[in-house]
Amino acid sequence: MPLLECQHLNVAFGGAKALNNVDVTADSGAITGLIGPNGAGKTTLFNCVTGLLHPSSGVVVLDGRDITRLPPFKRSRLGIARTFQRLELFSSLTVRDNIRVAGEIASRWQRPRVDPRRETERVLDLLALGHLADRDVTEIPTGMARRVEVGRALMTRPKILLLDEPASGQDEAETEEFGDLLLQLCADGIAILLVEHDVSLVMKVCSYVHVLDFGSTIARGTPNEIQANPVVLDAYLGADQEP
Amino acid sequence: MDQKSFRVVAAVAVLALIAAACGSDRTAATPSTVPAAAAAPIAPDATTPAETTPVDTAAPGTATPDTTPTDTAAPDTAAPDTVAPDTTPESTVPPLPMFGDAPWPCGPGGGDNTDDGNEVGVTTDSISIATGDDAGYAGSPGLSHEITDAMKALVAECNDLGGINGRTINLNYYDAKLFETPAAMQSACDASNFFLVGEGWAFDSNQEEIRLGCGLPAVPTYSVSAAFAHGANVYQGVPNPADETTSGIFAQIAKLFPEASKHVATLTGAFSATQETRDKIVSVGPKFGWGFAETTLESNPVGEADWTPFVKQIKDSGAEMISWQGSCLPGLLLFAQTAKANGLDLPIVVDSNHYTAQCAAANTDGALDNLYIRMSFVPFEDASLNPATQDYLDLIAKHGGDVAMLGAQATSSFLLWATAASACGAELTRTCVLQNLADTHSWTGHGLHAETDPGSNHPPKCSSVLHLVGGTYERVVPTAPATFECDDAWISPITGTPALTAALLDENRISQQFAAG
Amino acid sequence: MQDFLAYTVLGICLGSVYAIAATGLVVTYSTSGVFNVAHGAVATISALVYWQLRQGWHLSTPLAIVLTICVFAPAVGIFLELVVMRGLRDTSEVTRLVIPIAVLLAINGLATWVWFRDGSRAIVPKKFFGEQHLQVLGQAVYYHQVIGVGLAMATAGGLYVLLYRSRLGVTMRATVDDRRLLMLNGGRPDRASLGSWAIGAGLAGLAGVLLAPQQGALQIFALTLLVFDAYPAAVGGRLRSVPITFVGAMVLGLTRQYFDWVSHAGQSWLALRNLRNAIPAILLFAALLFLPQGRLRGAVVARTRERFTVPTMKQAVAWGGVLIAAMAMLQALMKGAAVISLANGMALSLMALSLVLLTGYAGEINLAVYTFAGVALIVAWQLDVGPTGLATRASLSVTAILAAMLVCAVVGGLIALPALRLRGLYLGLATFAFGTIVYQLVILQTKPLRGSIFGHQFTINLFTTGSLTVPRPHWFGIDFRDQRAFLMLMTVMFVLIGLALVGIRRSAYGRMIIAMKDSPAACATLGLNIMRLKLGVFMLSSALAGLGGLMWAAQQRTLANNNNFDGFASLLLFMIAVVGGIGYISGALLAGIFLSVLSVVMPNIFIKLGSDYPSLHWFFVTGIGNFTKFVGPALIGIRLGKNPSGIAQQVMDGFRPLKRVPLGTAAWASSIVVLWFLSWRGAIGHWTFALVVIGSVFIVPRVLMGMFPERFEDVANAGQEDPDLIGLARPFQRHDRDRFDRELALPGHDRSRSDATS
Repeated sequence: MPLLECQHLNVAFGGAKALNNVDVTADSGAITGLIGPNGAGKTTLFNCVTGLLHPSSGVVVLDGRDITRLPPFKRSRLGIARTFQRLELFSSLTVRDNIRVAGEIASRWQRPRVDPRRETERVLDLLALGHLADRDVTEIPTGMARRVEVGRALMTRPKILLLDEPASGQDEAETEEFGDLLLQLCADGIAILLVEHDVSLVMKVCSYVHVLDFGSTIARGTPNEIQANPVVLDAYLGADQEP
Repeated sequence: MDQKSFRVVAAVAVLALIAAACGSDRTAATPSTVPAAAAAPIAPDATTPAETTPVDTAAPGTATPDTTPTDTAAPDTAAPDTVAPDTTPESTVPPLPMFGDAPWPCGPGGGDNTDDGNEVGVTTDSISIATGDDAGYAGSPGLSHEITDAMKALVAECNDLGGINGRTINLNYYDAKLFETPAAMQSACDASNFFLVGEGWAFDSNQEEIRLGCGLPAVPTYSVSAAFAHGANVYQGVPNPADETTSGIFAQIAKLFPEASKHVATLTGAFSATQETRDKIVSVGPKFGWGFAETTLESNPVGEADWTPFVKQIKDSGAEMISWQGSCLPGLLLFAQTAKANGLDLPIVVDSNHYTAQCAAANTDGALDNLYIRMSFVPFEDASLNPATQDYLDLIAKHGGDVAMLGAQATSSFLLWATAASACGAELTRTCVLQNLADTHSWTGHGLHAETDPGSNHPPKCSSVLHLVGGTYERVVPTAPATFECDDAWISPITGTPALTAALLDENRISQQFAAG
Repeated sequence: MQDFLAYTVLGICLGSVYAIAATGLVVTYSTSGVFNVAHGAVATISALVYWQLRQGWHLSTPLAIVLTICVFAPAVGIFLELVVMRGLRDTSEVTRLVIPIAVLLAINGLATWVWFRDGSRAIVPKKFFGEQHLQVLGQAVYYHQVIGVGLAMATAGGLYVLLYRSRLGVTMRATVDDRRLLMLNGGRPDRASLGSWAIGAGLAGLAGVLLAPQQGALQIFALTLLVFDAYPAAVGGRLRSVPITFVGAMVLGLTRQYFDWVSHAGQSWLALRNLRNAIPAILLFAALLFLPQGRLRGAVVARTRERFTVPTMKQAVAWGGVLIAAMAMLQALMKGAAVISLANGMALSLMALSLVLLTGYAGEINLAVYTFAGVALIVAWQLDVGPTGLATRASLSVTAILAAMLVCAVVGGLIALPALRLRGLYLGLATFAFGTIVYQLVILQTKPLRGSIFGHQFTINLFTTGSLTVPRPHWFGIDFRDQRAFLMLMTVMFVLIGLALVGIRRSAYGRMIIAMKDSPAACATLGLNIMRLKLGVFMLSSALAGLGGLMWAAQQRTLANNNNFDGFASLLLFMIAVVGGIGYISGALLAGIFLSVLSVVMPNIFIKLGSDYPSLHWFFVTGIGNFTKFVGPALIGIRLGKNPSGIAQQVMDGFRPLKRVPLGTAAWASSIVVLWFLSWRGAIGHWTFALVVIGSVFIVPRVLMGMFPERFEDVANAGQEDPDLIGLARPFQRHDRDRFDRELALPGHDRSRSDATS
């Protein structure tokens, strides 16, 4: 059974439909990709899953439990963590403190408790952020900032990690490293739902991909299937692909 | 940006620290502190102000300042006459300059002033006194400034005449801005003032601890709190004790409106000062035949959006007269207009704080034509028949400033103090002045107001009633101008009010509330 | 029945004016996101302008109306949008509230200066058509009131047509949703904003002209407060919906009139007499309860310029010691009255400390700090004075202070509860409404309200005599009725509480609070129960406000019941605290000093000058003196716009470089001490001391930087240049390498910043 199931999600803003009967699932220990052009509704979907937005219809099920009515903080306590498309860092704090405070928040509700300080160092190492740890989080390059968000999300020891364009701003080498990190995380049992524009990363790490366009699912399958799907090529991969 | 704003901040900090460092030492150097004019001996052959009889009209009071200073009798001529208020039959002695019905208590003295160095604010040729108002209060700029206008004019005149027995008065001004009374009082204390004279600070309960701590005696223009009205070493020209109230108005109104005064509705601003006044009225009125139809109406002092409910309430209560505690503007005007629009046309009895130029000027549509005002001062309309009032008006006209009843009240307090100080002669001490003040049991401010007893802290037992018609105040009773009706029964005791209880009067009616204990 | 209908008519008349006022607010808020507190001031000054045109210069009514409402008021609105509001777009909620407060005070100050500078004159606005009225169901209804109803209906209709049928209106509504998107689609959001501010201000002006005659003689702040009464209607409409705002305004007007009817103008229930004035505030709380949960917003501050750095505990302790020593030295130089001013400032700084925690760290708003002072006072009074005690002889005990803080915390929690799930602005409004309710129902209460708890007698209303003497502490054998001793006590308290706050800031709890401020959305996704944390912070801050407020009350020694409790003083304190730098303890100190010393002492200087030179009195007092009263707030607003972190930040930035020349700085500090000693002994004058010290603040940093240029290379160039131009516009320098490493986040060569803070 998938860890996360979104069933028939509908979200409307005024007259425009941001999500139209969307079904998305994510399995533990796997990385599920969510791709589509800008404005397709990917972030809206994330907002529904995390509770920042309420769907007009449809359910979100986590580990068999319907969480559609739960407030965001309660969902997080059940094991959902995320990063944000537009960075939502704690701009008054340093890199280290951004991650540390996530641990301190988590230790308020998490059992068993983990020492935030040690955990912070572990996550900093994991994400290769050690040399930036004491810097103001607003002074670091965007790519690094995205990693900080990932690190922050990891502090809550989530079951599922929703990553919204985490590789944007990172160069090829860094993205390569990052991909390895993701694979390592899911080997540890975490489910990852990954929104990305970086095609190579998606191809490399995802075991299954959903494609959205104008709020509707237009395709789903393995990365190879998606790459060959003409509908997807039309909508998204576009003129880049040589016939 | 960094440097520039740093400079701005530093500049601002400069000013702050300078201001702080130099404290609030304020000396209002009045133009006439220069003693030269007073001391110059002048030959007594200039125009003589012939009249010396007190009852006469303007001439002596007004003529004195701008004619030759023959009145400042040179020290080597007619020396002993400077103090005597009664005219000597000797025609060589120039008559004393008058304010109202008595001479100015100012003159060059005998030239034998002493100073043992122990008296605060006194030297052989100067006296430092403190005065003040609330003019700097942001919510009502210029509040009570007429007091200071009067004080400055009086001190200037007095110094022109020689000062108090040849001691020039240095007038120090302190603005309490309503809520900064402690700072004003502390400054007055710090500056070694001899007395506090003529000051008018509305929030005077806030000053007493400091005043008593530094031992500064006071002869203020007015008092608000019971603690100050009964303060140790405090005397007023028109006393306002908390345990007695002047009640002539009840009798006079009862006589003017025998039926209506049996059905009075009170309408009060929701402030404790006005509420206390209302409580006094409700407790004293019945003794003079008043009856109350309604005693609980209170209005928002900040402003009522709609006075109709009050009008309705008064109508429903069957009242035939209204007793209002508040101020003329804005409340009473609007209420009266609403009353008129709703067909309510009753006489409204108010206190003397409704005798102001602004109130009269605002009565353009006649809504306030029902106003009956208690007065214990002679109104300005009677000035031509009352030397003191005319002298006050002329004084302000000469020295600049604004005229108001407050200014006349300040004048009374200043003259009270000056008379007491002058009587001490060469050796001027606080003890002596306080003793003279305590011994003054009949005081009219040289004719400015009805008789009071400052020494024993009794309010006037006299009263008069004015009536506002259009833009002018007309006399109702007594009909003779510049007169009052008086009766010993018109001082009523007050007991048990919260203010009195808090004031802790001892057996001498001195407040112990702020006494160090 | 007749009465009921009559009062209904009155209610509709009142509600109409409220509707016009509230709608103006909604129009500007919905297109700019700024809750324009200054809206009331626009109403007031428009009323004054109308009076001037109609009754001062005798223009005809139609001409005066057109000039005021179609020309002047909209012009003010456009001016505000161009000069002030536009710059608020990317700022925090706090800044977006503080600047309109500054504008409010500036406009009211300007109005006072123009019309009231020469003292009390009576401006008596006349109703339209004077006293003419209709008889409706036995009630006199003025033509003026009928016109009000008509205008409200016209406003409703006009706005409907504008917003839903006209191009400008559609643009205005689009501006709300997504400005950028609108621009990309060819819309002109800036023009729409101007339009909405013009309309909003015009409606404010209209409301002012309609309300003013009802007051009698026009009083500036009183009229502004009357306009504030309409705001609950806007809140009920979620600050967006004009129709609901209209309904809310009618409810407001009717409730007030019905209450008057039922209570016979307040006569029936004596203790609740002032309830009629508190009705708008109560309805505001009700409106808050019915508002839907706010969306969790993401980080706004990330995109703003507000920055607060944190001292280490050691630094904080050192500065605390310096403050105590400096205060001791300073007060030794000063005369009694100046010490009073300084002590007043210290008390205000103590109150501002509560805002450091609440607003500086957590980004929440409390617009009723003085009200907590009142609550604390009532509690402490019961314990230390009691119904039979004598305040002038009693002393303030530690038990009373702790009890007061506890009660304040509980009360704070209760107020905050309805507003917690809403955005910060609503919490601010809730606190302001709370302030109004306490002011009307408790502080202005003159009927004795007695009761007993656990056998203890207590009295709710304290100001029965109009003024109240507050006990001072008597600890360690020191009688703190002595002003200088109390000043030092407050200074020590300030340092201790300041250290506690720094400790909080550096703890996990502090980090969580900061995180909550920076991005509530992110915190929620980390599992943080934001409402609980907010509640806790608000309660703690309320306790501190109670403590500071109690010290303030004790400092005043005697309070009048209209002394600062009416709401504007709290607004001013909040504004100055934010401008001082609300993220810093020193910002709170600056706020207190500014409020007390500058706003008291500066006018005193002018008064003294005006008194010493009577011929120039006009210039000094009515000219400059009053001028600063409105220029002051205006400048403050502008300054905050330019540097949202406040003054303290800039001052500290100015001093930071000095750390690199420790010997020079130490020499300077010692010389100040020596000079003080000489001044204390009278060897040099106080003026001289002040001038030299302040002059040195200018000169010494420059001198040190000039003497040791190599230590200040990066400061000299910092922040002024584009990194791309380094090497082109000027030669490379050693510190540039470090800078590049930093910019590119390269490991290895990175060295920690020279003023590393945690």
